[in-house]
Amino acid sequence: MRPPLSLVVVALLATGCARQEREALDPAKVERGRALFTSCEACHTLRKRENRIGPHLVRIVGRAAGEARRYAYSPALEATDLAWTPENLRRYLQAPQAFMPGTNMAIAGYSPADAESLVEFLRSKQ
Amino acid sequence: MMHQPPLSRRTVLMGALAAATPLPLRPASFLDPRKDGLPDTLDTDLCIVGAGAAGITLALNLAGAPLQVLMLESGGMDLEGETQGLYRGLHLGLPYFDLTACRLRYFGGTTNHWGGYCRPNDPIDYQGRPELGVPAWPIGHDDIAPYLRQAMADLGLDEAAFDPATQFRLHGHSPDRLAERRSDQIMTKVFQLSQRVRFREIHRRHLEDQANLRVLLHANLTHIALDETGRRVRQLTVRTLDGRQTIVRARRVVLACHAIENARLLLLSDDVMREGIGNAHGHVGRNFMEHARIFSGVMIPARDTFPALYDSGLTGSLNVNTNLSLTETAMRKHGVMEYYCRFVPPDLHEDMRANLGRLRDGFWQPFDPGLFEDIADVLGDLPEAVAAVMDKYRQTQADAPYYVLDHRIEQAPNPLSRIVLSRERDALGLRRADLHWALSDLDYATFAKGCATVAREVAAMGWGRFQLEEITPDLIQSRVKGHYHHMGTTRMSANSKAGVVDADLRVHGVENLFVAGSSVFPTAGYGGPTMTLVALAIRLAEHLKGLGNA
Repeated sequence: MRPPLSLVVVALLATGCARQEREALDPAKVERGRALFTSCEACHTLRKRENRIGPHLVRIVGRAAGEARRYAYSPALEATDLAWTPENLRRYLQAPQAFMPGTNMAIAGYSPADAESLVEFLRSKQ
Repeated sequence: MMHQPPLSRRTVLMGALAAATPLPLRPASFLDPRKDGLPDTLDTDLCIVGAGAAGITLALNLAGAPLQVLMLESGGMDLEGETQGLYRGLHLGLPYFDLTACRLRYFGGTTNHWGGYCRPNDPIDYQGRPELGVPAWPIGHDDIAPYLRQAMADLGLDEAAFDPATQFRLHGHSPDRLAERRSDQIMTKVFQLSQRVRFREIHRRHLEDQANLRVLLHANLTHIALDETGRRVRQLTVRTLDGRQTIVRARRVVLACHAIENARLLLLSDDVMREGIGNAHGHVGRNFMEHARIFSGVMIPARDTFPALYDSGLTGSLNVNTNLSLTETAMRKHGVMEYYCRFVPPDLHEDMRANLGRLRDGFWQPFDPGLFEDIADVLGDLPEAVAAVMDKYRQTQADAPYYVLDHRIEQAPNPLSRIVLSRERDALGLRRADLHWALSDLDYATFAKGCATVAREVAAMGWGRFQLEEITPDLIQSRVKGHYHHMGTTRMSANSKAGVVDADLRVHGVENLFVAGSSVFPTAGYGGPTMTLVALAIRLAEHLKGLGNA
């Protein structure tokens, strides 16, 4: 029996989508980031494309900002054409309001070392 | 000078309606000063400050009462960063969650991300532990029980389902396997997960239709003005972040803003009572309590003996928790507070399971490049994918290779665990609230003795063997987290020397000021705070109805 065409297409796309080799991650930072991320989980999930108080963070590193489907972003996030590169994420996590005035993410911000660890953890979940 | 917004059609209409109908019933309204303007003064019988679990419950239970109710909400109908930022504060004690992520400052309050865990406290939780310096509640289990039943009904919970034997039978297990059938030291305590948790969605329509209610959005209480005797609230100053202001004159006022904010508002209003309102004996802001939690140690279950319903991975999927806890006998014998241990199966296939889960939700975003990466990950390691799926369905056998131990305690009241007004000011010019979260020797003892008791009893039953760390204060301080449960900063007490509010939740010494929410809890108790604070709000509504308009 021939498999449905759609399955063939998906499989080809998937296997063709060779994962880039992950850059080396710093395990200590990943684990520190994992511990810090428990605080983020009040508002965000990494496991599903499900928006909570904040947008989902599935494959957030490299994602275009303001792109989680059906999430009601602040006008600031709606308007930006920023991508969440590791550097942008680090700067945002250190001082959300300074980096993106008008953002709804009200946290005071993380220290540079903790922001670095959080981004490292997010990269490990890519 | 106060900013005067242009009159909108709605403002004119509301003004005309108000003029035409002096006090009696008129359609309930949600008013937003940013769109509808704000009069110089607002008069009402009752002002509820805060539209979260407590405030909304209180308002709903006053429907039909011959009272005009005004509910103030600092936020709008959705999250706004500027408003949420009013919660910013420092941690002066143990590390804690970012305060802006703990409570939600918009309509529905923190129910907008409430997990729904519910359980009534145990009778011992209200009784006080004089030998430990822990105060009793001025109300007992029997006083609160009828209101808890109503809260359970409102939250869609079945009272009988808190009985562990019922849970065991419901899921095809013999109650003979319950720990309490084999030990007088440990017992099973059940949490149910309410599915009626988002008060904004559930109750908005009812509140809009409630004839005696007005809801004022984007309205921040910034000052509680007492009369010159200090025994009565004269008026409230209410401001918006865009510079508008009104004065609310209410016969009675209920603060329902959560534990940190309730205490902050009382401390900030220090012009008549220099130490803050209700703070003659220094209790306001103190005794901040959490349900403190650490992960430590593992249990390796004996094959086919550890009851599946103690596997928190399984029970979580059943919308219930069955936790191994201390009996009253054990709590008294060891001189400790409430404790439980959850047995958490390690998620050995965490990443793969997340990938599989995302294949499902990715269906709705078929062009998301991340979806192809998820598919590639799954296809790239099919044996792992199969193992992840198999594991998910084998959980019912409670045969995880080991369980991580999740210890939770009822933090004892501790005056050093407190909120403190900061020198920093928020966008409204008010001093921010910093948190000094601190544990005591009693808390360290509860963690250590609770863990030792459960491990000893479970091992004696032949259910498994434990690999434990020594639970020292240093270990606890380095790992402890909370549950976003804020309690105790305006605690209830029979007399004014021992707390902030009386058994009717009225601030001692102030005849028309009440406090709702878990800030009134004298002790944290075993259960999650929300159902209890909902019950207390129902009880407060009954009390306020009894007072009428006198």
